[in-house]
Amino acid sequence: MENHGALTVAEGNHLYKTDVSLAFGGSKIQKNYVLRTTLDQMSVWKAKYVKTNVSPFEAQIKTVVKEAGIIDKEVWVYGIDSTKSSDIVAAVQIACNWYKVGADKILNDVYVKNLNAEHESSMGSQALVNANKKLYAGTCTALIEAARQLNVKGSLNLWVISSIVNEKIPQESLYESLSSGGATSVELDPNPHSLLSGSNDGKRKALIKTNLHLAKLSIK
Amino acid sequence: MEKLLWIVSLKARVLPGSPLAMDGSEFMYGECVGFASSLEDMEQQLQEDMDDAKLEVIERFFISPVTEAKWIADSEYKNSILDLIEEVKITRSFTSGIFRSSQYLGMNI
Repeated sequence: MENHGALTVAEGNHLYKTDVSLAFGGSKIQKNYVLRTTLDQMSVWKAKYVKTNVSPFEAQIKTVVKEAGIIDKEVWVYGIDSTKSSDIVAAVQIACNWYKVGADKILNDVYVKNLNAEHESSMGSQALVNANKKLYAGTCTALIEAARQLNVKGSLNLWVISSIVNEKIPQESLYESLSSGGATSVELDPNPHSLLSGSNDGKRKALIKTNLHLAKLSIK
Repeated sequence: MEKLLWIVSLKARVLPGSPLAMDGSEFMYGECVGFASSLEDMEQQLQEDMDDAKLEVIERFFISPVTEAKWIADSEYKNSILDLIEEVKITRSFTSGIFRSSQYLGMNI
């Protein structure tokens, strides 16, 4: 069987990590080389979520130093802003070194679950939608740029897990932002999914009904 | 006054701007656990937590010290409730468990 990899952005609690096997029509594709990234630095992330064992290591890629760890045989890299191509490049290089695979293995399938701007409680609802649109668009642009820098050819699959009636970014706004970030197509899986999702501050979690979308990002 | 471990099981309305407003659900169902010196103390901690989460309690199904909450044994969410109780025994802070959204529950009927 061919081995696949995946990258996730904006992870929260490791207990509710993004399901990187999700695919359309209820099928599952297992991934062997998984790179998970969090916006939080490791110390912040640990304070929010962890009573677990992380084996930390500090990885330096050229001039960028990122904290990384291994949890359940998967690579986690901390302090990764998904709208910055340099952060994505650094994280992918750390994972490539760990798994000894090419960048295309990691970047071909990217998963993001309910990307949501920080400090949402201080924002009005339209401001939050706008902030989230900017986040998704910025993530698309940064992924394409990172792929180009890492010499990955062709296109990337960006799997987005977000309810079509998510008030923080409804479907129409989500699709607008993905297109403006460079997605050449976006499709909706007609089957709804259920999953456990957590709030940004790590204090709240809920089982929700959600939807899976697939955006194609072509690398110029 | 001696504090006991309390649990409340509830239904809450999701208010605009709630961090849990993710799937268009009107309601969330779940449990919260905390140490309290009385029913009033528990109710006050619950209110503060719900305000913070932008949830409005519509119905309380059960509210009692954990030792009297015999219903937990029959709950289909027993394992996660027991995990929550163990967590609060360590952290000693009022904590809400895993909520179930009305949309999620609607999928699983």
